[in-house]
Amino acid sequence: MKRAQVKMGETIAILFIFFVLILFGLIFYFQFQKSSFERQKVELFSEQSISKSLVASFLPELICSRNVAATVKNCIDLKKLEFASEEMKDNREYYFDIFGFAVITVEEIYPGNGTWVLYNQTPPEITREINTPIPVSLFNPVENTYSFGALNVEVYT
Amino acid sequence: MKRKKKGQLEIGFNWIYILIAGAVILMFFVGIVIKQKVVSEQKLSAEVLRSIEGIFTGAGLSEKTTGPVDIPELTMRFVCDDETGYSDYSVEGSGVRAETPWQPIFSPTKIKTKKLLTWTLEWKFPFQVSNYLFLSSPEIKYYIFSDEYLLPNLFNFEYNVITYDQVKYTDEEQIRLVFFGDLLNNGVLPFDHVLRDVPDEKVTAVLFRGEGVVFYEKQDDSFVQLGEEVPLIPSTMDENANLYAAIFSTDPDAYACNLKKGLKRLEILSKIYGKRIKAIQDDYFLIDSLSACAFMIDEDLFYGASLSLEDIAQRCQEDITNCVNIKGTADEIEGISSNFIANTACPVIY
Repeated sequence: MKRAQVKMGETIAILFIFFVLILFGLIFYFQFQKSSFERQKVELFSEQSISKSLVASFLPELICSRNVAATVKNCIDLKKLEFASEEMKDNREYYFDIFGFAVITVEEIYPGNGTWVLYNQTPPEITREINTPIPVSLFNPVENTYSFGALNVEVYT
Repeated sequence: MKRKKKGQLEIGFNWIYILIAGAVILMFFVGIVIKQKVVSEQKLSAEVLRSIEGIFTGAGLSEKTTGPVDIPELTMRFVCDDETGYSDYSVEGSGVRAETPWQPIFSPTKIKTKKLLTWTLEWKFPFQVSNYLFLSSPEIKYYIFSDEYLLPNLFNFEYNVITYDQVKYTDEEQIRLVFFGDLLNNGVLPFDHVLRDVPDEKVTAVLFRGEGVVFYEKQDDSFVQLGEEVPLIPSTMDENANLYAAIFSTDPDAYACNLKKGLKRLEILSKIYGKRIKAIQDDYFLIDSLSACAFMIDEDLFYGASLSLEDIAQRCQEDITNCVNIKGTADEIEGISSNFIANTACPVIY
């Protein structure tokens, strides 16, 4: 009887150690998964930030009006810009679906120094932010002149 | 005798114990493998959707571009609910989905392929409103009963089709017939036609008649109307993006739902352009009270037209059937713009 009990004890001990080793393996694996997941989150956020910047720079609400003769790329119409920010405020939900938590500003660099806030939705707590500046021409349709500026897209999470 | 019985009992119990322990360990590992399989499939679906999202964003911004997108072979589902306005796309069976609240994407409800075909076309009314993204695959064949409306060469289609005899089936995933004016043979397939034996869900049709679009599904040997007729919203371009959108969409609700995304943009842009031209006129008068450009702007005419356009966009969003006889307003704005373009010293209207 004693021999049997000893043998049973041995078996249980082996099993116990086996499961402890498995547990260590699983803990190590899940830690690795967690860090991989964090890395993917950062990559995803960077991709989303680039997407939103591209969308902002191609918004029909901002881009220079075209006639049959000419098309100007990376150009923002200043007259549209004035009213686009009003419309974005009035249609907050619609533009939130496009940009999420972000701040989009247009900054004139030369020759003037104006700044226009186009869209402003910041989250209650900021975990991460990426700012993507895009050089643009700013067109004044009344004076028919161009100035140099930047479209700043700050995306938050 | 007692000892013999004890030994027998011990051996028997050992084996039972081994079996139970072995089964538990095996189940433990099998459980981990199954769980990992599910997680890996979801991870793959999420990665595919992530890549596709980037491609869709880029494609949606480039005008008049076509391109194939290689993906792992899977089935993608596209949903756009006309009542709620909710839209997304997902990998079937994965539970992973990406929402598309603002981007108009016209495609069949389901695409099973390893190569997505994309085409971007802008809708102008009369100014650029939105870029529509059309999706298909090489396994979807289009038969167009017209010689006027061609798709880009990338797509699998035949045009100038006149009779049902020209419609073949070579194991495609989907067949789509595009009619103009009227359904051929009242939508009844000829006796012994190969399409009669093709599963109903693989064959769909669309009919453009006058200013409306009607969607059909195959039921046994004929085409049956799906839903109500949807107005064909015009465009001021020769290529009407809304017409091609109806060719690629197989579900009338999804078609109307995606159209409303464009109409929302139209509503916002009409307001911006209306206010813009008013502001430009005010600035011109400030600079020069006798400014020719300022006098050229008939504020009431343009502002009134842009308000009408805004009103049209709102009414169409409430009910797509309100979108009839609306081209006149866009043509009016286009006419005003043409006068401006003729005078190169003045800014363009749009």
